[in-house]
Amino acid sequence: MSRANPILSATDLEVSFGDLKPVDGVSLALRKGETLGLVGESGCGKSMTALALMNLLPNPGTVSAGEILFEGENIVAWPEQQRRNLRGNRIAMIFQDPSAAFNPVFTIGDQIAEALTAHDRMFGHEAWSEAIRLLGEVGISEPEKRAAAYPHEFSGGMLQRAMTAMALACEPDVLIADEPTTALDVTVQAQILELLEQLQERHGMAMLFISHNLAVVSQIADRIAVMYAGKIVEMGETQRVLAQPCHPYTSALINTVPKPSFKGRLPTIEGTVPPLHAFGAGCRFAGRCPLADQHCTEQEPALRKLDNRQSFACFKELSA
Amino acid sequence: MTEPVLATENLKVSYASRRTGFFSPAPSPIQAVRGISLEIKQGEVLGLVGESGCGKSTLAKALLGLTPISAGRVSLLGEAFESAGRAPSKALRRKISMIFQDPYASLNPRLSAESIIGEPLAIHKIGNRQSRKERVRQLAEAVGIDSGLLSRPPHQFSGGQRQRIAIARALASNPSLIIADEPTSALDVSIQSQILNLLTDLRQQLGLSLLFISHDLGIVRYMADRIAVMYCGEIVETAPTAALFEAPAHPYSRALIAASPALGVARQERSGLLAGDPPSPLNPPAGCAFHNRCPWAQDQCRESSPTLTGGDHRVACHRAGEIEP
Repeated sequence: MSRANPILSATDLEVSFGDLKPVDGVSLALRKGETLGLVGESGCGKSMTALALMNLLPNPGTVSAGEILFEGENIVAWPEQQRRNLRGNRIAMIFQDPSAAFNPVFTIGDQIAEALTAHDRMFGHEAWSEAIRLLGEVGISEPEKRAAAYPHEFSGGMLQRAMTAMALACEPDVLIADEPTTALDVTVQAQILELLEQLQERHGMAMLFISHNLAVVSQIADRIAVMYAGKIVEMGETQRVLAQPCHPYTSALINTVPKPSFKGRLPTIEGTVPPLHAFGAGCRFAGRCPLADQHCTEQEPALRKLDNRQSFACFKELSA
Repeated sequence: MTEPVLATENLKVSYASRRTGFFSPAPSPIQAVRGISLEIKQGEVLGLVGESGCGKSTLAKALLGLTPISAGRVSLLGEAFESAGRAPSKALRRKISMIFQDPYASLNPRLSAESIIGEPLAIHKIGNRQSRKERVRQLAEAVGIDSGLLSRPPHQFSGGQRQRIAIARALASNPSLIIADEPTSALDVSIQSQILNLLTDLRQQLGLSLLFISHDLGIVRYMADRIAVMYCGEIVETAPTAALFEAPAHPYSRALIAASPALGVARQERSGLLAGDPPSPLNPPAGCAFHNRCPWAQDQCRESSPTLTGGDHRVACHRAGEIEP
């Protein structure tokens, strides 16, 4: 597949819970072998975006507008049965808390094998041996023995590896990782990031890596999308966005992280994110933005291109 | 002023662990903190870092007298505060207070912000009703909470405001030492810097001493004057902040620094990665607790446990001098 053709993309995706829209017009594209980092604070809609792509939105959430294209076909209108064939098969997901993602009464091996049998890939002994092979691939020692263990016998890092093995079982084209390292210690986090990168090199899948931690995302993502209050406010190549942020929110987010050997007062973002039911007509960041003027509170800025490597949604020109 | 605010001597804390079966023998206790000696000087911020399960929070609880200690002693402002088998002295207890990680769990949902902040004053019988009210108002102002909102319960405040209320409560009894256990990890990044700035301001205004516990090295580096690195219930290295980051001497401190993601800094190459998981305090490895994850371990490390040695920069490693930086 050529670089120009994304394998999974969303166009003007809107997720509604009644009158509330936690995701409001998000467009993104995932290409083979590429990692897109999705960053934002809690409640900005990053997990809802992921769940919408998976068709796993909690009730009464629905995709109320926009398209999700998988290999060029709009899958939003597909019946659940057809979506289920994709889920875990072509598009897989890793969740934040590995200890909550496994069923405590089945062995790890059973649960990985289930992913294979559910999609009619393999059965019985064959699926079990494949589960063992996968556990080995994600770096679990003595996989034959470990496959017969229950989730509570695994440490957090091992469970996250096992969940990754489960997600990779059907060799998905797209892997969505929602805060996969947030529940882990830093040394284990580094191991998991390394593992994800290696697996991506080996299998060439596209990855959507979601995190609230800009530093973590900056280590694994090729491109980065910054979300604020249900919208993407800036998107571009990771190093470029970090070095030269164009949206005041991105810039503030980068500045609030303490830098090595910096001792002065930390820059802050005053105020808090507006609640879902109180988004005004204008830019959603206007209330906290040092550059905002009247125009910003009246009209909503659309995502505009700086060049082919970066785009942002702001009326102002943020000087570097 | 030379007297340290807090000093611990060979502090140990153990928890009774559960029997595995009805007829199985009573298991040996879990040693969560295994002999810690540290000092916090007047006006100093000591950062305490380490992975989950290494005993950071148990140490904090023991220092507050919330968990009984099994050996060693703690002194506060030069006076004996608590020791094994002896509960902390109540008169000194008001000199030390704590800010917890999750402001959604640490504030009583049925009390008003005013009662929450004033509770330490009431418990330690400081002042009368009128003076307490005045003090609470001052504290609220000092942490940036509008005193007009004080009659509200915690759920009407945002996460950042709740943490401010928790800080005001910690300041109420005019303590000499505040223990902050991951005070910003439950908060969003944009709020985190507000709270860190507030702590820095209060520290300058009031000359506070802080024990700042966090797993985020970037934040500890920003806040702390000195850092203690904990691993499996022991302190493996303590040094002034700059010295620790420039020349970490213990292999674990190195691995920790290498593994923590920093903005815009490329990830360390594979060789710097630590294999394996942190050990379980149920069954700490013999010898140096770090030997099974340490790339430099040799026979000596498997047999004897190294002690913390050195002047200003102390490290507990048999091979500290030999390892190339």
